[in-house]
Amino acid sequence: MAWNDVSALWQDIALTVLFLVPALLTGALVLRGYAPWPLVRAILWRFRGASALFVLLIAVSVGMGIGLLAQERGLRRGTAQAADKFDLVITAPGSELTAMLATVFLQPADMGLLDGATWDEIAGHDSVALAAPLAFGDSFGASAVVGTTLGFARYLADGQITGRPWQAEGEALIGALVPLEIGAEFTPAHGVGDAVDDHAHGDAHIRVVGRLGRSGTPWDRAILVPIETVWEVHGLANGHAPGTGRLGPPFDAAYFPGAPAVVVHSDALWANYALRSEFTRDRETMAFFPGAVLAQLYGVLGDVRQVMSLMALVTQALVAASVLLGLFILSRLFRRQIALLRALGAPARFVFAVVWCFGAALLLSGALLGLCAGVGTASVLARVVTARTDVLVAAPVGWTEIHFLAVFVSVTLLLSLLPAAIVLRQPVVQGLRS
Amino acid sequence: MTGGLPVSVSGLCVTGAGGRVLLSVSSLALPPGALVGVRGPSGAGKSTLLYALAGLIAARGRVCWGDTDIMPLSAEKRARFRAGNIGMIFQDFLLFEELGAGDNAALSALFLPRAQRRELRARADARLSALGLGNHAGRSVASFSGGERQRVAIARAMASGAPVLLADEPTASLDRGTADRLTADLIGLVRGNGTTLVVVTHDARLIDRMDRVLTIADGALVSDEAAPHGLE
Amino acid sequence: MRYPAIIALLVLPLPAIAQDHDDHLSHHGTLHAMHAWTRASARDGTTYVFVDLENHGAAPVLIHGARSDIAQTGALVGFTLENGEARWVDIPTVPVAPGRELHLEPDALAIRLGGLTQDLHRGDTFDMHLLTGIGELDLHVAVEAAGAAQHSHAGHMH
Repeated sequence: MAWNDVSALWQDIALTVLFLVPALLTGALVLRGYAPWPLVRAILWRFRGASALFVLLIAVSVGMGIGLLAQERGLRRGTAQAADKFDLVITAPGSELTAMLATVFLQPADMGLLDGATWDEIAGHDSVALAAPLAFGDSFGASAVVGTTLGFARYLADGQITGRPWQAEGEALIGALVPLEIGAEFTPAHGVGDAVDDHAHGDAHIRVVGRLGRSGTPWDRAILVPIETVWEVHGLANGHAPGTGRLGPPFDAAYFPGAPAVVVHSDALWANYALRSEFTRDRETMAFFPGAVLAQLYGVLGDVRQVMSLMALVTQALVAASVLLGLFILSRLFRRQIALLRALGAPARFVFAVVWCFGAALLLSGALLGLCAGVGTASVLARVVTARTDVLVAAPVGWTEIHFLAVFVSVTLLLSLLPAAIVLRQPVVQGLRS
Repeated sequence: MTGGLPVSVSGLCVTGAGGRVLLSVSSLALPPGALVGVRGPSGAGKSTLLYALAGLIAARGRVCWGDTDIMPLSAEKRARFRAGNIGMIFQDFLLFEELGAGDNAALSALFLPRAQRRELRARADARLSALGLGNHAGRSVASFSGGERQRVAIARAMASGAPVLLADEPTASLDRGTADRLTADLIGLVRGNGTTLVVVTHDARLIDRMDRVLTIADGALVSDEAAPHGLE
Repeated sequence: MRYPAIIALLVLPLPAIAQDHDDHLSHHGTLHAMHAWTRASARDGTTYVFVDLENHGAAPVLIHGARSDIAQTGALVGFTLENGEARWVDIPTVPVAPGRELHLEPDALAIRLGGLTQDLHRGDTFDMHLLTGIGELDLHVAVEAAGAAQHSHAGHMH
């Protein structure tokens, strides 16, 4: 493990402890020299119904807060991971967001085409290790049919292909979640979703020859075919001079019908930045990092996230406050016992400690149960989102949520000093006589 | 056991809401180890006297237990004084139903310094044994009869080795036979330890066992007489 | 001509460091810079400087980093997204190809100035020296608002 990881872990632990310091300090000061546990247990048991309800209320509110926070981060990670393979995307000028959604998340969009000369320039660039044209627009069932090169298919699946790579036009590699078998044949439809035209490509038969490994991205539902096939199905030149019979790059600029997007990968990190500068040209090409577009989105959503966290914390504090109010009402039910303790000579701080411990026990069990509920909520939400978007979302509870919980515990344990103090102000003799 | 504490009261005045005088005792002195009954009509101020002696009520005047005048003390210091010197018993026992007899009797151990907890527990167990509950210390008091409960309360009041025991109608919730047996046990224990006992009661059989009987009416001490013991 | 100062420079005996009349432009040899800017930041903090570079020469020019009197460090960094979190990673060097532009811009490349020795307020300017393979290029960095996404003169033609 690298030192950086260790120190980050320690930072998180240190921060958690720091957030818990008010709670720990309060506990230490209130409880110093006393052992009120048997009494606290007795009171908890006497009011077990109300106590269980309070714990449940706190657990639900904490669990929802934690689940949402974890889910939000999981979604962010999942979408970022989906963009991992797309270092740099070059398209015709337009909206980066639209182009990003079209290439990374396979959302249908009308996009301009890059011509053969541009393709040549990109593919021939010194810094480019892999350049792949993408051709969208056809579909089969819920799957987008994307024309590209075998190099890109291998790159996308990290080389994991069951079956075999395509060797000829009319062969396809399917994503891990496509409901087709190797050996199956299908006819792609023109268009995607509601705009689909099933009969446009009536005579085109494509045979599945291999399946790509799971990537955890919407591409798991895509069907990849040689881009030449897409071009030919649409009655265009196939990227090569007639009679060459080539499949894949290099393409002949003169016979290149155009591609809406080119994915570029370079081995050196700096090269991506240089390429972006180079292919950002007014009215010609647009080059962008899908990761940066996502980061801008997260940036916009970042404020929302902060508001959300704050709202979650405030909601939980309110729930905790109402629980404490309930506690205070409960404490009127055991004011005789409190008065008795005073009559027996118990110091005020001891009585205070008993009432505070009662509240603290409810809050802590609620918080712990809430943490478990949060883990559960997050994993259920993650499964739902993954099923609906094909973006593999894992939402483990992380340090942010632990910190959040620590703040909650500290704030509410401090708040529960209030009912404890109020209980102490009740006169002893009335308590004994009531 | 070092025996009881004497108490001397002078100029004690307890006022209620609106300045009404609830209790006024110009002078009262009880020797250490005395068994004192307090009787009088309901609402006359008997319990008020008891709470004033315990330092649980705001009042003017002096209440000196031995050398300590508890009146000028803060609520916290009075509580500390009670913890070491005064045990209290109530009509309806005021036990924690969820705890065993032993834990109830040793309740004060929860707020005592760690070093004194063991000693207090031992004394609580000894008191329970003396009161015939030695084999039931672990049982939850929820299953106890009234007489057993009041015995647990007595053990609790005397677990700290307090030289003073204040009792508020200790037999009022018990049937006659149970009350008599409890009275006998209580007096036996108190006499054995030399504890000063002040007991507020309507129970004539209990009053009969006292050394001295105070009568309170309309917030004033109207009679203070030595009582002949029913037995001996 | 986009850079009138070049004409004046041609008659100078040395390819000295020059400054454009309006502070937005500067160049060193064949490397030209335009619109250097950063965001308002606090003392002891970190800020990112962005600038548009153009190589008018025939050979690539390497960019290594930068130094400034107002900061303890000046590193060339590149933006990446790691696990959904935005991060800047050190880039040892990046070349500006002959006849090409390189944009140091948000969510791409930047000079990271660490350990600022003073607060940077909107409207301030400070000097920064870009470390390149052909020497230091002096930049006058304009401080924009804390949340700015571009130089306030971006889009103007100089």
